[in-house]
Amino acid sequence: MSPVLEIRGLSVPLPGSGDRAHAVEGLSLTVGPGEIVCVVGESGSGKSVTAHAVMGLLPPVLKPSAGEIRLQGEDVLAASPSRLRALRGGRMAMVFQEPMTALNPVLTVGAQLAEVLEVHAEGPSGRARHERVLALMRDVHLPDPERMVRAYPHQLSGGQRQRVMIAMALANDPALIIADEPTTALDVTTQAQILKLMRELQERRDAGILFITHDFGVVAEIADRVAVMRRGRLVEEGPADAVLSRPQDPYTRMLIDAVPSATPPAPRPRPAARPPVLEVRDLAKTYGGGVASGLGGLFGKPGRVVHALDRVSVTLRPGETLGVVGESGSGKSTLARCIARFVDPSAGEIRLDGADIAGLNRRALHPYRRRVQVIFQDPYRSLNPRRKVGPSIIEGPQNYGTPAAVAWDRARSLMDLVGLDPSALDRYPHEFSGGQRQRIAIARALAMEPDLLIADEAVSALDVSVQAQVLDLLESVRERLDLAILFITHDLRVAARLCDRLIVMLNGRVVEEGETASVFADPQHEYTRALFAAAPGAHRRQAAE
Amino acid sequence: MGRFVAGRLAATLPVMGVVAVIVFALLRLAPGDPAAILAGDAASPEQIAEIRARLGLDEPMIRQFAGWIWRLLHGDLGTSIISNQPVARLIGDRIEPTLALASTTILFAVAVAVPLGVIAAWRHGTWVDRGVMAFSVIGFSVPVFVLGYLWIFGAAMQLRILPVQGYVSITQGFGPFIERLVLPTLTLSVIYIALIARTTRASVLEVLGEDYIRTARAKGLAEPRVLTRHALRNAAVPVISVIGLGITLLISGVVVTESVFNLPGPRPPHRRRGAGPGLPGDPGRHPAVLGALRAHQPRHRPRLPDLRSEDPLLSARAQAAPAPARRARALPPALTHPGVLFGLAVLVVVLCAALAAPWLGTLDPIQLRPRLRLRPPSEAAWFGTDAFGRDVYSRVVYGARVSLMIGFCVAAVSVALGLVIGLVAGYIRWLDAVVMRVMDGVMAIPSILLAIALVTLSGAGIGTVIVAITIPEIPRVARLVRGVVLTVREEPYVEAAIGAGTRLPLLLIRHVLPNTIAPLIVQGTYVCASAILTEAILSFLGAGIPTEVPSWGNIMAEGRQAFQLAPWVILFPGLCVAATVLAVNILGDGLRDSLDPRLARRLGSLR
Repeated sequence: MSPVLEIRGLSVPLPGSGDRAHAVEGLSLTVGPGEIVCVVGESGSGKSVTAHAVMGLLPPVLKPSAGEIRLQGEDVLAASPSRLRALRGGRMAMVFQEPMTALNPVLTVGAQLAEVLEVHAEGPSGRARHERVLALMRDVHLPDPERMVRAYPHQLSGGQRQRVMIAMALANDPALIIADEPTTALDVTTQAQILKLMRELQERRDAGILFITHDFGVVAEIADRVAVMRRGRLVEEGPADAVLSRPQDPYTRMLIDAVPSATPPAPRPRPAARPPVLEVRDLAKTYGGGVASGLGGLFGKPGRVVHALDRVSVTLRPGETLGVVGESGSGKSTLARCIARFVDPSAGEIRLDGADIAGLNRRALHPYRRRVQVIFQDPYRSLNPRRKVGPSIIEGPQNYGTPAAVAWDRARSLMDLVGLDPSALDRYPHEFSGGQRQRIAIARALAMEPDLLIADEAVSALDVSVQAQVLDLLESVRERLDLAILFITHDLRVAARLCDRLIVMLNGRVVEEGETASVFADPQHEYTRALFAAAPGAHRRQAAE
Repeated sequence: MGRFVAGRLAATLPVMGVVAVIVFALLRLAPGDPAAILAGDAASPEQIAEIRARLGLDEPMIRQFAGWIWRLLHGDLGTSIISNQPVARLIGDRIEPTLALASTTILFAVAVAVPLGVIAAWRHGTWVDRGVMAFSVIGFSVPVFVLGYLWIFGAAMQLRILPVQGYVSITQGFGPFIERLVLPTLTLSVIYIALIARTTRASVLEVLGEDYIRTARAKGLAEPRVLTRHALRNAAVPVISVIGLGITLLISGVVVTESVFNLPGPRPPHRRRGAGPGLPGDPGRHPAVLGALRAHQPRHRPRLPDLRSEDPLLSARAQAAPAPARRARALPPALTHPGVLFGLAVLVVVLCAALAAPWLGTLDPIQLRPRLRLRPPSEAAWFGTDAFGRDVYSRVVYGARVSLMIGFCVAAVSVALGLVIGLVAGYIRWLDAVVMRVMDGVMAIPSILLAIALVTLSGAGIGTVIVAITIPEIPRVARLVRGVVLTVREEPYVEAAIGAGTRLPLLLIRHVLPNTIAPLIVQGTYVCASAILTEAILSFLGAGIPTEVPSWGNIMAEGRQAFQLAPWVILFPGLCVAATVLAVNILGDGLRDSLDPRLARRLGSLR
């Protein structure tokens, strides 16, 4: 059967003097009808540029310089603008990564769906069009389509919006659907549902799907064939089973190995129980309600009360790592920010070595600040871009009276500890990669000689290969410095790698708590079980076992 | 919807209260005694005291204020203490031409500016875009009255196709009514078109970068549909508010335009004091009238803005994002930007001319030479002479001193004060709401009206003018700084510094302040440009610098009477104002473009 998409020798040069000449170089790839081809790669691999090139949606600075892209035999790169418009939304359609921003906020969902049908001449009109919109919404299992056609995007959840995007892509029965990281912005449980939907649709229709992802778990879940890209080039291609079980290229092997395993390592021997560093008792944080302070609240509406944290209790001993796992809105980050006292808790106790810091004011808190240090999620924003690395690291110790010379000595030895050259202290953050910046952030936290380290999604923004290295670093730091670590994450597999104990949070409450191994072996709460079931790659692993 | 509107209206009450207090305080606390002004130079202390008692000026301040507010709430705007007529009736009598001119201007400007802005954004970076932007920069830089005189000179005097001045009520026929409004409308709408086109362009450009535009294109929509249905609809909010808020920008412009075209509208009193040649003035009006005209004063242009500002004008332009990656080396590229270089070059020339004025072939700028009156430009007098035989060239060169000084002073003072207020408001939560409501109130006072009021009370003087222009600029700077602070304080690196035990003063200086420098430099240049322009307008209206001091505005003010005989007296200083303000504006735009990393990012590649 002839392929729906055939990319041959595609090259897209990068403008200016980047670190490489091409975003995509000499790429060849085919997608057959009814086939899901996953393009996998880390950031900067050129996978997104490829997807946008097929749709003719590259920004003007990027122009393909060689090769051809054939959609059912027709060269897309040579098509006139009006022909290209007819193809887009007609014979090829795209689902984007960010469902939150991909829909027009001022038009109803129904209007946006109807528009795809309307602008393509072959589409139905009038009553038939409305029926078709409803049918599409039923196809993607949106609840109550009659009501939802009149809803605006902000009234929908992330998963629902992505379903609308998929319905929009399906509208004119395209031969090719391009999905650019369609589940990356979603929670695991939602991701599982969307992947299931795409599988189901692909079985019912005959469209070929070009699926862009960075996650081998997702690949295992959905792919028929896999193409691995690195720095603009194709490094490996083949049937999903073959690539996943017998990767040929070392880079592919490294990527697959770097995916955290779903089975936790054997529990490590832990030091004898000592008095806890951190004891959180019945911590609560509510937003809204109450009388807002100042004149600003004078005309504000009385808001609803949101319980971001609902009587959470946590105990953490020296040398121990506690994983806090939850999806967005579970309150896990609020917990971290309350303990670090970036936000004021509404009720409850936070005891550091027995002293309650929950209600202390700025001045009284000062001596305790250094004992709790945070590593943030986004390595690009957690270092002041205007300050060199050295001054950023010694800032804290100097605030507590450490003489400059001592602080610099310590900074140099910390660079060594986190695996960077001491010359890094004289450079600006923008000269470092994301993984290196996260190492710097760890060094900055350690410079304070804290008792407790809070890692708030500290590896979530990193590519898998870098993620593994940073996790290794945290592990070795914990061993050497006898630190307590509160490890906040949305990913059970990452938590399994590092944590001695786990708590699972849902809607501001702790729903499950226990030793990592026992939580994995025998999850008690149904939500925990749902999380395990939703973890991408779980099905294939089960089938393999 | 009804509840929403009611809520918004209720929210303006505190602002109006603040405005009332500030207006009252400024007028009462300003040095100068209305009674003394009213009584005239020859009055005895008893006469002044008697007038004070009659006007209630001897009562305690609080009681005066309470009485004023009480009457205001009952629709009693008071009585003009000069013409003894009720202020409300004075306004009523003159409202028709003002409304007529304002309406035609808005209709014309919106019809022209919105399409221009959309097309410029769509064709971003092409000659269409550059043309629209150039027009808008020029529109911001030419004083309204200079434009007015250019129209009169061209269309009415040279081509003789339209009546020069005057007003005909619509009740006397639609034809003559419109005919007389054509030139004033064209004059007044230029700055308005510039403002709306610029805002539309910025807003549409911003929206065109959104993901849902890419979605719309991925659906196969044609560009016109993408632009109207998806882009313009989402870009409409800042545009509509700039149109709305811009209506009050018209107040300043209307005052000037009506004055140029002799339309009977509200107008400031011409000064009768001072050593300069007396001008036949309009009947005097009390500043209370002008106070009653107070309204939201918009920014003169959508400037470097803050993302979180409630003022959509402020957020219309791309934000100077807090963390330019190569910040440490940000300035050198700015110094290679053509706009920056051009602006700096012109400024340096003007500055040198101002400093070296006595050695540039100038004569004594205030020497009267009755036999050389109204001579056209010649080799002896390059720019001609004015109605008193004074050399216009010499006066213009010396006038540069005043204009530049006022520009720099206003920029420096408003940036310094605005920075402090903005930092405080942005970082100290409980003060924020109070400070920002006061700032809203101050911002609601149009600078031209404030200046007229202050000058009338405390007498003309450079200090008064600087104060009057500075006060309304402070809130804009403060809001800008506050916006940057609010954005930056959420940055993880600021939280990391808090976690590292950095105390507040050091935190602000080390981590927050550096982020405000780039936007403040840009804002400072815009303030400077706007101050030079405002001074010219004030002096032109006779409410600015003392007439004996040659300033660009004063030179033009004195050229008004003889404009049809000797247009050079207005044209040359007008060109100087326009060129200087244009240079400063271009400098500001250049700085913004080169210090604004967001635009660079937008033009960059896919992630």
